[in-house]
Amino acid sequence: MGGCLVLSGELGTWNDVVQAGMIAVEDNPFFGFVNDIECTGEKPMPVRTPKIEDSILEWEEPDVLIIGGGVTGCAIARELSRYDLGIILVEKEHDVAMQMSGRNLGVVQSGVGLKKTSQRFKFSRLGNAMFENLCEELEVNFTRTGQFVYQKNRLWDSFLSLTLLYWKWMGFKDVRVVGRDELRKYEPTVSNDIRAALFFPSTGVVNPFDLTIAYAENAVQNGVSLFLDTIVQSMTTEDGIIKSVVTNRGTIKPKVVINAAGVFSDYIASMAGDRFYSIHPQKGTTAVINKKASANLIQTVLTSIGKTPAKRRHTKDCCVVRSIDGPALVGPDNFETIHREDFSTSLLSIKEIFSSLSKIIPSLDEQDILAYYSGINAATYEDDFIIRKGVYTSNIIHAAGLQSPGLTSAPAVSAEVCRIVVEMFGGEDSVSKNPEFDPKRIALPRPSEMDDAARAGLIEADPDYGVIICRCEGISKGEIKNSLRRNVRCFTYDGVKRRVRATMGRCHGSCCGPRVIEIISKETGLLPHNVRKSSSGSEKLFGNPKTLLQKKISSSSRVSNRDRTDPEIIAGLHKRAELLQATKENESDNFSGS
Amino acid sequence: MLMSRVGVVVIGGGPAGLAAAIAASVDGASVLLVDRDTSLGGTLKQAIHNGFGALRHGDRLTGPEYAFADISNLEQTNTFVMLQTSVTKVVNTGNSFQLTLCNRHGIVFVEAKCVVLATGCIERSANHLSIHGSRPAGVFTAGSAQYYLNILGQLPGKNCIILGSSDPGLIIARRLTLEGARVLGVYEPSQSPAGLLQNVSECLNDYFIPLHCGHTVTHVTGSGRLKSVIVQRVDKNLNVIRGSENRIKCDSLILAGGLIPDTELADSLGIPISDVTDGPICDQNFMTMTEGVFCCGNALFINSMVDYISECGKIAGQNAARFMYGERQLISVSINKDFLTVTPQYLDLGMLRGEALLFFRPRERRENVIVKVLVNGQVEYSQEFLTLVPSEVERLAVNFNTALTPESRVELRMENNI
Repeated sequence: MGGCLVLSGELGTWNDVVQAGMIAVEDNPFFGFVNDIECTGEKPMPVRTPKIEDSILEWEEPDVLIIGGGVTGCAIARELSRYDLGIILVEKEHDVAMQMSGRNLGVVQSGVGLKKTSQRFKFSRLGNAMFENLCEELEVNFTRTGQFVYQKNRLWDSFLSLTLLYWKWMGFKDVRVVGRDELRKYEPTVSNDIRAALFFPSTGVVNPFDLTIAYAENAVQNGVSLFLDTIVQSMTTEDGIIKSVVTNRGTIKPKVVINAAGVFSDYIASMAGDRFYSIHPQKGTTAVINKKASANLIQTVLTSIGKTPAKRRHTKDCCVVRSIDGPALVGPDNFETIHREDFSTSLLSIKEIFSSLSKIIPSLDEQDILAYYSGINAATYEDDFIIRKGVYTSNIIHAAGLQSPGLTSAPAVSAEVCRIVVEMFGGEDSVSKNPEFDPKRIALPRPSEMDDAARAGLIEADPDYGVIICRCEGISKGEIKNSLRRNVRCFTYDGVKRRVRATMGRCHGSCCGPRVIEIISKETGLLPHNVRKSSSGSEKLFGNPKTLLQKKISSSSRVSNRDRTDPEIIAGLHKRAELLQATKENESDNFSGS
Repeated sequence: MLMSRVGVVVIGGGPAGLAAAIAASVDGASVLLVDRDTSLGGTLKQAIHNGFGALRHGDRLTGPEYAFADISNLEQTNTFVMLQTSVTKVVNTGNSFQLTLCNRHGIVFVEAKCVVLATGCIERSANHLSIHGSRPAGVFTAGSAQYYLNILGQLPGKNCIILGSSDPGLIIARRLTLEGARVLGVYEPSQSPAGLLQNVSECLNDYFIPLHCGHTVTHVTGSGRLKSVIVQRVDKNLNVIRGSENRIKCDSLILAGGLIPDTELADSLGIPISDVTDGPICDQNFMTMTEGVFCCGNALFINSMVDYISECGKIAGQNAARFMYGERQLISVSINKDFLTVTPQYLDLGMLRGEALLFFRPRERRENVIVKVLVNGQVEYSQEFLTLVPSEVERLAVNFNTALTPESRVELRMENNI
């Protein structure tokens, strides 16, 4: 088997660290590569950790512990729930799909531009073919829009038909060349300069967080225990076997651990004593175009292949995608970053994306941007997926390095991981099936997509479906209310947003945002100032200003040290504190009662 | 498909919609007023400060008081009101409009002779204003901050920065101060405040809140709650000046970048929208370029006075009630570079009776000017103004004595008064 190449030392900038890794990994004769070079100039941001500390998971001894509630982790959980196994899925954020799974373009890729021998190509091809069936089972919207691919170098346009042979050899049976006129018939906005493009019909679009949430809900429905706000802090191993996993919510003793921790998968691998790869995070920012402009901008998926003059190895090309929900997505750019959770956006990224695409789609206008977001890709130096059993540790399975097309590959990756797990438990014969497994997940109804009769029926069953809260997206109170009653519980503003699209429209929730908070408050019993936007510490409101003022007055009139010894004053203070407490309680009672 | 028939459907129950519904009803039409909220009044409900109705009521009413006056008037008419109801679809059949309404009782179909769009406006938000950085809690638009504070009784921030000096921003600055929050400053990208001068003095100066013109917020930081914002200076063309970054610690950023007419329904009907006002293009009866569709209030153009909104709604309602299909003879009202906008953009000669209202905004601040309406170069009407500022909409009530023909040129001009 041989050893694993480890690079250590110090370098000034993170880009140098990554460059060194890139050079080292080329023609690496060993099976693994770990980049341990320390960056002296920049320190990574600390890992975002949940604030909860309890022992709810203490003494749990599941068959399988899945770490990471992204699309891969949730897909694996759902796939494993076909078997009669005790499964725990832990996710450190307060909701699933909080990182790359919720921050990509939602393209179900055909596999264009990947090496034929790579795992990325293999799993994306397998996964792509599974999407119709999967999305029908999980009731997730999915459309095969097809994808136009143009050559960056215009000289190639005349010879595109010659490349068909190559694509056929790659396994794309249905690819064809479209001329300028046909391309412009489908995509009228594309520049006249593009004389020909390739069309791959198998590419589709899906809502990535919708899919992840659907996976998680179906998994929970089939007996998986999902623990949000749960972070793995350390592990104890003995003779290459993980004995226990320490989390902020107790110590778990799983038989098998599945590492689907995304950008942190190398951290988990190192906890398990099984580090043979490194993640170098790549950040990309995407712009969302408003619905009105999107309708005329793009209908399918438009990407490029070929060499750009300044060739960088890990640079991907911006694409333009009509997302499943209507808005067009433009991007992402791509650069190395030391920070694994820095989802901030910058003006520079947006400028870069638009300048690179304005030649292809001249009508693209920065004025039409509705929103922008960033995601961080968990790329490995080998630039490929790592889906395998542990090397030094025997009871861990890695599903790591799932950069693009990780979403497309998720169904196939989860099937493969499931196969490995079953093998570890002694094969199909020794693991019994889950008799109650139900592949069908019932989605929330979407009245805005229904015809009038169906919608009227829905409103009759629950009148709240007739009260439209979010006007931009046409989202009703019923949808918001019921999104809070699902089996994957997320009582945050963003949780509602990701589930039903409320506040996602062009007013950004300036009209419906307060109403969403009111509904969450009423439905869950949280006070409005306890309703969070997303992670802990993101409460949107401060509470009743009159109560706050009272507190301020009482604290500013605090007695000095000398007076504090006076028993009379202390008694008075206690009395006032009690009074304040009582009024506060009264007020909160009044509020929840109203 | 069961379909009720009415003369006029008014969409939106704010000041414009109320005025339109009352006027149409008084004029004898059967009127249906649709509003998505649980009570009428629109944004007036949350505007609990005073200063409304100086022209119409001769008083400084609060928003709810102003709305109440109109709602009481509405109750005297035969207008049918549907609350908590949204219009999900409008189809133009050529001689009527088929509306699909949705509420707690199901789906309702209504056929109307004409439609009045009084859907109000939406607010510009962080992405419109090009603010980057993380996505912390604590970034609000002025309108939603007002709703949290005045309707829900919840404080949206303790140490606030306000970006934009439009009226909602100025008013929320005062409200926040009165409720015990600290407003650290109001930052305005352009060189002069965007709101009424009266509001600058009453809401900022009286409370010692600093106004920084020529500044904008470019970046926000904070992982859970907003921690700080980066403020930068901008030049006259609104380009950010590098090196002028200044970090300000705060827990809330209130965006008051201005309002945009809500044209969702107008767009679905394919109604032409003006690039300047962002609302539909219309004639002096406030009928849009699609016959039978009227538009008024902030859905048409952003007003600075609620009195004008009511006036505009009244005209739209009246004309909706009297509406008949027929040939339109439109001549455009042209402006020169002294003006920013004029509404209506067209005059319909066939329907020109009595006075026509022309609402305009000047391009820059002017003092002591005469605004003239010229027909074929001859002065038809003129009015003196002591001050004109771009932030304030002014109104001309013009009686056209000269018979206008399709060849007539109607122009607005501005001259210094000597």
